[in-house]
Amino acid sequence: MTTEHKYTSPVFLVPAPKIQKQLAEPIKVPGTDEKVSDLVIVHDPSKCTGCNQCMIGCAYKHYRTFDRRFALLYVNESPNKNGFYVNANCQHCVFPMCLASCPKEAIYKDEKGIVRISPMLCVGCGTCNQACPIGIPRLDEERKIYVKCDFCDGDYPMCFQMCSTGALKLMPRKEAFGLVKKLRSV
Amino acid sequence: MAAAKSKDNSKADGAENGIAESGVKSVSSAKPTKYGYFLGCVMPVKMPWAEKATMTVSKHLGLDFDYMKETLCCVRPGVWKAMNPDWWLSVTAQNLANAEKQGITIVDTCNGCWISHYESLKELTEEPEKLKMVNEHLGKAGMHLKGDVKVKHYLELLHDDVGMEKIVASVVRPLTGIKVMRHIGCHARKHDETLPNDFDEILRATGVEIIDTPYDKTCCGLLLYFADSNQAILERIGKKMMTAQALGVDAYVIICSGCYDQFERGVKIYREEKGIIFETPIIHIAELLALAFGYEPEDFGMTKCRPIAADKFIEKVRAIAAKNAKAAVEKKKGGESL
Repeated sequence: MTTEHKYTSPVFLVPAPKIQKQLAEPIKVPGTDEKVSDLVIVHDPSKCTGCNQCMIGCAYKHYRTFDRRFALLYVNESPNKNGFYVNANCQHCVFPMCLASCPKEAIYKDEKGIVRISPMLCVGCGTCNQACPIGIPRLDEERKIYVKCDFCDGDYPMCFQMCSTGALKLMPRKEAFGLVKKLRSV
Repeated sequence: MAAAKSKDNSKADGAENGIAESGVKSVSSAKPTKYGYFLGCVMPVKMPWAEKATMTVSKHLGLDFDYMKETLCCVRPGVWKAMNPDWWLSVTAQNLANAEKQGITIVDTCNGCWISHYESLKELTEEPEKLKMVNEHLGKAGMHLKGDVKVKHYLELLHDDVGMEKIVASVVRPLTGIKVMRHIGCHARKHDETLPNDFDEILRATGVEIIDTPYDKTCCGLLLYFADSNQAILERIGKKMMTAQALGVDAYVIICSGCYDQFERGVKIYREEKGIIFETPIIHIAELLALAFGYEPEDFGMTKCRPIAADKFIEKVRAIAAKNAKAAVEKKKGGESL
């Protein structure tokens, strides 16, 4: 149910998209036995200002520090275009390359479709980082194991909550494909 | 008391009628809007000139505009929401409850304050269980929030409530020939391009020329400063100010006090640690409007308390004004001789 809020200007009259705060049951991938999380985070570089609030929020959520080097997603200025910020965040793939490549079978997909690394099984070899097309898993230097985005355990992702410009969007996969196509064509 | 009240009301009604009569924006509600200016932390300490200019411009435009009373920290979500969303909601709700009690619309010039008030109000009005939780906390301080309060960004107030026609009509000293770079700040971009477009439109109304650069959108680095001070200064403020210096613009125009705080810090660090002195003054949009409306820089303390002096900028504004006045006189003479 949408509650009408009290704002008056055109900016506020646009109702905010209703997004479920908990991941629903994972969706089935047609023609396979695979399941995948129903929501995914998409980054719109045309809106990103490089404020790094997503990284800082992520670092605080997982490590209780504002040191952005502890974040599990990455935003950097594009080497090809000044003032244009690009991002890499885990897509919790349908067929995760990190999962396929792990020699210790430490990477698995949980019941919500979130791709996770078991800290008990990981030996820190770094194969997952090499296999991932965008190099998402990173070394946790203290524990000497690889770590990656856990979608905030299926809660409202902190990076999305902290994004100061709305460049990070949380949306169903089907819609995300459409948006990414549109962004690429631009 | 009653007489004073009726005088106040008539004054406010007059202001509203002034807007309606000019055909800029008809106000349908019978009750005039009373605006409460939420200063935030940086404005009164580091930007007294911007504070005075904002008050001057708002009064000049006929708004019922005064300082909001009984304010607390806005509790910027960039830090506090990550730490504990319930604390953030409960503390920021105190400002909303105070505004509700005073019957005012909160006006923020700082993007951090605005997004904090805006997002907390949105969450509290959309999610009754959060409002209940917040009211339990507020109740301990003898406060209560219904959610019947409005929050506005200063740009919205100028663009939507006052209207562009009235702003354009108020310009008596067009700043034609002044080149500026502008920085609106991240939070103002959160919903769509409405506020950035309003910002540009208001700037153009003063007659200035806006110079587009690749770093217009780039964050000032305020939050990043807590996480990586080097990158926040070198990769954000440094790049922005270097670009302004290289292009030789007359001013860097901002709206957000949080961003100004970071600009000032960056400029000082560059000067003290690297020996690089930036010469582009950082000017608040209200100062530009005040100058365009015919106020003198001394009227709002433009020459004082700035890390980069605005003297050259003021000289140029005066020179342009003198040139325009001379041209107007000559035009008038030419018209008379004809």
